[in-house]
Amino acid sequence: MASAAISGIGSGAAYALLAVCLIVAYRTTGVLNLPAAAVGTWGTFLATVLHDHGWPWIVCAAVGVIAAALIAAAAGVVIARWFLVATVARRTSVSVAMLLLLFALSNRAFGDNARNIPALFNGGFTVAGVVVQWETVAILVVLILIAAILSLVMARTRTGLVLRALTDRPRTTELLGIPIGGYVIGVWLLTGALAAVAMLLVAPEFSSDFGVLAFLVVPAIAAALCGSLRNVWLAALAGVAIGVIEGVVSQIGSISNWQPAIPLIVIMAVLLYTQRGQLWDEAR
Amino acid sequence: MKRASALRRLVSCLALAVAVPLLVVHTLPAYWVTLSIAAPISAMVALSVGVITGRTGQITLCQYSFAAVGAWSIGWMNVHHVPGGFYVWLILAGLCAVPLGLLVALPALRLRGALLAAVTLAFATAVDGLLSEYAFPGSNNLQLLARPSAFTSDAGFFVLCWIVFVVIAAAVWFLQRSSVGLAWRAVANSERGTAALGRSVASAKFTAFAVGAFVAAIAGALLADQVGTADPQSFATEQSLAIFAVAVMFGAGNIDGAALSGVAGVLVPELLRRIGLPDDLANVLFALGVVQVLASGRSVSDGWHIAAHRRGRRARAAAVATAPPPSEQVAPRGARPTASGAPVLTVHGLRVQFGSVVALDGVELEVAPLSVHGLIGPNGAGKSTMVDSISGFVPHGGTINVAGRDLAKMSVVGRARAGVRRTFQQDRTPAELTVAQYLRLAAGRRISMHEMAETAAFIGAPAPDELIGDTDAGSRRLLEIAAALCAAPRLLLLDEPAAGLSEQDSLRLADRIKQIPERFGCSILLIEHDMTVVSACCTQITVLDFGKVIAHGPTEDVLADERVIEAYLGQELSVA
Repeated sequence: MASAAISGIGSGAAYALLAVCLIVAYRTTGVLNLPAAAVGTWGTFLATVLHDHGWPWIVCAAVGVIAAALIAAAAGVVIARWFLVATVARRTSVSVAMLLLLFALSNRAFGDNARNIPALFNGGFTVAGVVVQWETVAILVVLILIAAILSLVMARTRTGLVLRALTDRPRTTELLGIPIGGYVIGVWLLTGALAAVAMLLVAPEFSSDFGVLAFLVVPAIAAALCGSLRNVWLAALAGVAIGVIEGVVSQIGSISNWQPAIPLIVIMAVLLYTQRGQLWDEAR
Repeated sequence: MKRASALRRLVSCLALAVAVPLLVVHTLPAYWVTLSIAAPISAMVALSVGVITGRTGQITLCQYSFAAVGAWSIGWMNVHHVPGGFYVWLILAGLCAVPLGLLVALPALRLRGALLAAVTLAFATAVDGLLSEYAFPGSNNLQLLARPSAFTSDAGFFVLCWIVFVVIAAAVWFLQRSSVGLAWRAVANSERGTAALGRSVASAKFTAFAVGAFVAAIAGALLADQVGTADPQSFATEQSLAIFAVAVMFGAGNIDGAALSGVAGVLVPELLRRIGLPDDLANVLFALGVVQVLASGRSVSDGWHIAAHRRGRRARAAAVATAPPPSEQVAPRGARPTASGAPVLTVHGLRVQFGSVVALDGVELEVAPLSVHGLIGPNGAGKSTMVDSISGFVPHGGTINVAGRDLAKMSVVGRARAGVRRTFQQDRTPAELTVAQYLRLAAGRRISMHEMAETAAFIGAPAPDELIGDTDAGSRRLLEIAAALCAAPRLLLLDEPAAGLSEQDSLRLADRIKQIPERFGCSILLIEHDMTVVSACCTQITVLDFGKVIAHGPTEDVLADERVIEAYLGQELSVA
């Protein structure tokens, strides 16, 4: 049970990193970044293709991160160009289309064969009889670093100020003479890179199936909603918690089959609770 | 004239419904007949997306999960020999998904757009995971589903699927034209606007999800019956994403759009295969297509429908051009018997607070029966907040009585149904409806075409057969007033109806507003900045400033009051 919980921390930290991608994208462009995990998986799979050609894994991983960043930036270009002031439903539909596109193209690019995804950090250490993978430690460290940097940037820098303005009033921000397109694309680029890091660290332990990895965005959404799509630290904590809960549930025979429903249960509970007061759509 | 064209349409639809299976079964080679079975099935799933997303504006990414529920249920009924046979099972399988549809809709009651996409996607991946844990009933011991005896061949099974599609499409078509379906469109446009029409937003969303889940589950049951068992892969989340894209792209809220989605889902992959390309490129095309449609703002079939409506309207307009214009002099409908002197609206100690800002502070107001009562004051005085609180959109302290009923505990919808109607400062009319459909939705009662046309003409709103999207902003504001009048309200709250109208139109509107109480038997609370309009039609005036009443009384007295002039009216009066 304890080792299941510990390994849950690893996948949970990946959910948390993806949740950070979701929050950053949602805060700045109002788009629920449904393709986040799919973009990260694309980066990871591209890295494995290079690895098959004999490149060292660390170089492949770096190229994969850059590739994912570029894919996400391309999505950012589409959003900045056509959908910045579209209705929420329309922006979300575009996000769905992007996820579908990455899915369909992944069949073409990578086929159905399972991919060999090496771990970036091998081995682990033992604490009180429980094995802790170095990879779990690495992803936790990355998570804490990213969350800290993001909180500082958002609170203390001019870039953070612009991004916060962009969230609420994209057009008004543009009228202040700020090139918002560049900021939007930059933010998406960042989420792509982050998602690739998350997937590179979690995929070796988790699965090598594109679909399974791409839909890790669902527990990530659950985590992001726990932070009200706003609070990075809360979301990070929730992500880790969801990972641990999944790890523990998978060990309990009578309910282990219901593990796939955990993100749904979390999302329903959080939404029904946090939205209980909200009734009307736009302001008057 | 109109009846003849409706008859022509009915006949051509029936002809099409009969011709399609005959053509498919008798002219296509066996390979294509087998392939075609998928078309009506995925057309049904597309239609279910069309109902929830196309019509009601709620994003759903789990339609194939509802289909999986249908497939799983019919398999379970087969294994457990549930009495009734295939056709009963088919309907039961559809019904099995309805509770799940309602469950997914539960968070949709208070949230929309992005967050709802999250719920439905999570539902889809959960079902995916559960399907891999719980095998399809009968698949372990080969208790396969049998096709119904009349439709065992592939050609026969295509005919069965086609019949089910036609029946469901017809039912959805009628539903979309009923007040239920009109409310779906109103919800997609504006939830506040819908509630103000006395239509429950919650029940509109619930019915949309229930119908969507039912239709998708029937399709899923047929999909399982085609091969006798179900492959979890055919219900995977990716399928739900793809059908969402196809349905949005072709506009599956329309029946022809749904049919087209079904055909495209079969034809595009097959054609790709024929020209030597991989068939999974179809989803790439659909994803790109939907982005294009979303950027341009109109689906394939929506474009046709709007064009067809305009053509039909021009033809009808040409036919009636020679007829005399409808008289504007309409006999008064006769005032509803109101208690003679008792006020229609009594507001006592009304208090509204937003955070630390007190927007309304102890407001007292009485509106006499069959009168037009003006509510004026500078910007930020609390006038619109007053309308919002009387119509129930903001929580408030104090009492609000309409015709002797206390509104305090009533919802927005309840107040609208109790005869309190309002208009908004911003346009909230659904562009996809015709004027007549919107008026019928607002009326909430049986209302004759004649009465609607008369009311619209009286206010100067567009003619009933016009599409709201084709009218200008000023006409839509007038249309909102006409809609409120069609509901035969006791109290009508008009929030700056003359804003944005030309001076000439404002004066004409003022004249009409003045006649409303006698003609429609209701009282009016009129918020207006245009003093010529106010003095032309109001008998009594209340002046608000910083959330407090600073003057009230007959129009001439109040407008002459020095405090009022000082607070707000100085320049206006000197001009007048």
